[in-house]
Amino acid sequence: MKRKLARLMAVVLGASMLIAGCGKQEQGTASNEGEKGNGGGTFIIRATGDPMSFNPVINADDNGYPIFQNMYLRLCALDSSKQNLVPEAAKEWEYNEDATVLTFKLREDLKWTDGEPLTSEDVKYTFDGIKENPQYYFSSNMQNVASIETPDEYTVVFNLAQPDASFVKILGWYATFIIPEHVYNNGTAWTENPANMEPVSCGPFKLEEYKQGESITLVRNEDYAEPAKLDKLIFSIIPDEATAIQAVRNGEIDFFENFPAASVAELETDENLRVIVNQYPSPIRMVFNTKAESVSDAAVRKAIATAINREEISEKVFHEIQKPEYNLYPSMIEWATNSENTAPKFDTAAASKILEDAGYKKDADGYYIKGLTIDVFEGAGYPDTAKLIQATLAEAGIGVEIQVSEYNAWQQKVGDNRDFVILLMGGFMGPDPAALATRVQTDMTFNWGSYSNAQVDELLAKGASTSDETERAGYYKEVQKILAEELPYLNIVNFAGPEVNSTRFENLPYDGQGKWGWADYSHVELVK
Amino acid sequence: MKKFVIRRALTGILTIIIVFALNFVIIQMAPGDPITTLMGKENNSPEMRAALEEKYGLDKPLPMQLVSYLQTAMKGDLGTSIIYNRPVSEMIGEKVGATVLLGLTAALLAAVIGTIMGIFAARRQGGAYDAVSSGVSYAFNSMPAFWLGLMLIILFSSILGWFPSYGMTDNRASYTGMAYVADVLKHMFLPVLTLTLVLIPQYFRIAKSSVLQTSNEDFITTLRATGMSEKKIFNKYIFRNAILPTITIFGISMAYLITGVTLIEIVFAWPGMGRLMMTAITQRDYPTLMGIYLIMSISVAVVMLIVDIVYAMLDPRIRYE
Repeated sequence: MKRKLARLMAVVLGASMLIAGCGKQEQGTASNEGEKGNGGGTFIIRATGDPMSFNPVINADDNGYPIFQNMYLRLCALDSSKQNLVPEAAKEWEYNEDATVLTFKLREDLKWTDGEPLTSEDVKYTFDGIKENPQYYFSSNMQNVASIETPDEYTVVFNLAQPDASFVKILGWYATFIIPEHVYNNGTAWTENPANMEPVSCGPFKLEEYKQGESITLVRNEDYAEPAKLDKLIFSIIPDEATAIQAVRNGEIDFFENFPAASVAELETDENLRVIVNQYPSPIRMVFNTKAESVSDAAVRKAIATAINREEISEKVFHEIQKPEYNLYPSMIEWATNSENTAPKFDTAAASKILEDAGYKKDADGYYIKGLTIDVFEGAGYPDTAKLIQATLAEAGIGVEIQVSEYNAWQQKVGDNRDFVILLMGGFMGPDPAALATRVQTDMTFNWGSYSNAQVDELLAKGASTSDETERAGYYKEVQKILAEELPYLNIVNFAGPEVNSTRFENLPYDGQGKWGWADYSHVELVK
Repeated sequence: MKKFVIRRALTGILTIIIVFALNFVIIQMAPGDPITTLMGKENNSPEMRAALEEKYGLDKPLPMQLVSYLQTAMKGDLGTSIIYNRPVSEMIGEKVGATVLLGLTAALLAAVIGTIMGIFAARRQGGAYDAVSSGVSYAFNSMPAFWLGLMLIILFSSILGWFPSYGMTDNRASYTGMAYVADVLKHMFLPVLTLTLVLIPQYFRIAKSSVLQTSNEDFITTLRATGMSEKKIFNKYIFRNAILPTITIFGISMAYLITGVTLIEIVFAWPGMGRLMMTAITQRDYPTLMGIYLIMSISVAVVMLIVDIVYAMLDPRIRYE
């Protein structure tokens, strides 16, 4: 029996070595082949999950978003700074003086992958369809568009009901890709069209293969006006971050966006990798439910704001990758942020004094206020941030409890039901300060704290109604001044995602500020 | 015998229906819903929500939803995923193979290796081999599978560079034929190794203790007294008796095969059922979840039925009545 066992072990070991050996050899030849001709090469990007479909407008699909940006075109797109617009399907655009008419001139050399030209009719069809159907993500943004005109094949005019100078920037953000009218205008709903899985697209890459749970393979669209340099772009689904870190170190993937801040130091020492920190105007913020009695007093909100140690949170939770943010509007958007009227600096004694002055008395345990709750969702550092806040608030005599939910449940509780006192959340506040309106204007759907201030509403309306940047900055800075006094929300740290790529490749989206979109991989080039 | 099988089968079907109805209610009662996923982060436009709820019939009362689901399920139609708009049966079909390949290979290896190790340890009880193998077995038994998996990735992929760290096939190449088989084998080595290592201890302990127990039975002492050779006693009497519990454990592990290797699938990005289920849970994709639960409860019921029958056949002490 002993001998049998030994023999068995030998066979298993031998077989596994054989597998390892022969597979390796083949991998070598295969990757050489892939890199021949036209610069070429295969660029593998880590993806967290599956796209919901290959229709870029019917869902708010975070997993599909980077894929769509390489298959489809928007009129214009935000670059990796998330502030500059770069042209995509449109070569130029302009507003009229009072920001009510927005005119796009389309490129004339664009074709769908089935050979049909992309014209202004496609654009009109797409945006009319989005507007009509509230089920589509961008639909609510389209409600201010009174009509879309197509004076000729390559001109599109958006007529706005109310002036909105920020509309063009929102068009460069999310779920605003152009889809082909000749494919989708066939009587069936967009959601049921077979083209959602066998897409007709118009961008630099087209879909070759989709394996659910595994990978999405795009290949160069040879008919695109400015062909991509890569042969293939593969989105490879790796759910676990720790595994993806090893995969990028081993050269099995070439790009990993938003990897954990704790791994920055480790990856920076690897000479085959380049690590950069990509900032987004999506600060982590604390929102107060102004309808909740316990925090309806501005003095309480101010005391809480004074008792948050942002430096400690940035250091302990985010390894100093995400920096403290005191401004009410993200400081990275320099023209619009107000650095004079900000949230108060950390000082627990001052926080206690604010409460004393407002007439609050300490109880036997040393608390002025007790029983407040902070709702957070799991992951991304939120529960840890809440714990540090809880500790410093306790020093100031404010007692809070932390409630952690899973994301989907959290969103239903705080977003749909508004059932919270204090919450922590992230989310995009760019590209334009007009985004402030969606968060703090009376009765807006994303105004989860139910904040309402007539003066703020008026200033926000003024800010939207002109395209003069200096004038707009004035209105938005004034809004931030009021917000800094009333503190319906406050920012804690900014958002920055470390990203890492193999040095075998150059010209990543990050390198194309002012030139190309922030997930446009068509300029990526294999260099060694 | 026939009566026994029919009765067990009927109990199985009843169990499946009850489990299914319970699952349906529990999932719907859990906070969150698939509409929240479809609408994207930080979006709660009431118009969008109403339009989507109506489209997927989620605005109807729960009992009506259950009845309409059961009606279609009876026809063999598991419905369409709300999130991916694809037939659930198709999605499950794509993933079952990968999971069974991984889970079954590891379960077989672990059962064989663990049992052999256990028998050796029992036959040399108290010796050096017993001490070492018991120690190692306890160590692996207490290791979290995801941690062990990551350590093996760091050792075999990052440091030694022998095996790929994730996936089932090499993305950079599309192999066919034998090269494809070799590619899959190479990719499954580490996940299978991890799973085998964490499964070995249970087979080791069962085999060791049941061999020890059987060896101390009176009839073995009697056989020894007759002067029968130790080898014959072991092969003919001890082994056959001692292997029964191992078969039971193996049978039960087969029942949970379909979703039991979720953590390993996540660590190694293995495209299997466990990950499909986890994704469906976080997205609250009701039809996909119900499909997976249905398949799961059916496989548990069927395997339990088979184990019951096999056991009744092997062990005459169990009556069919």
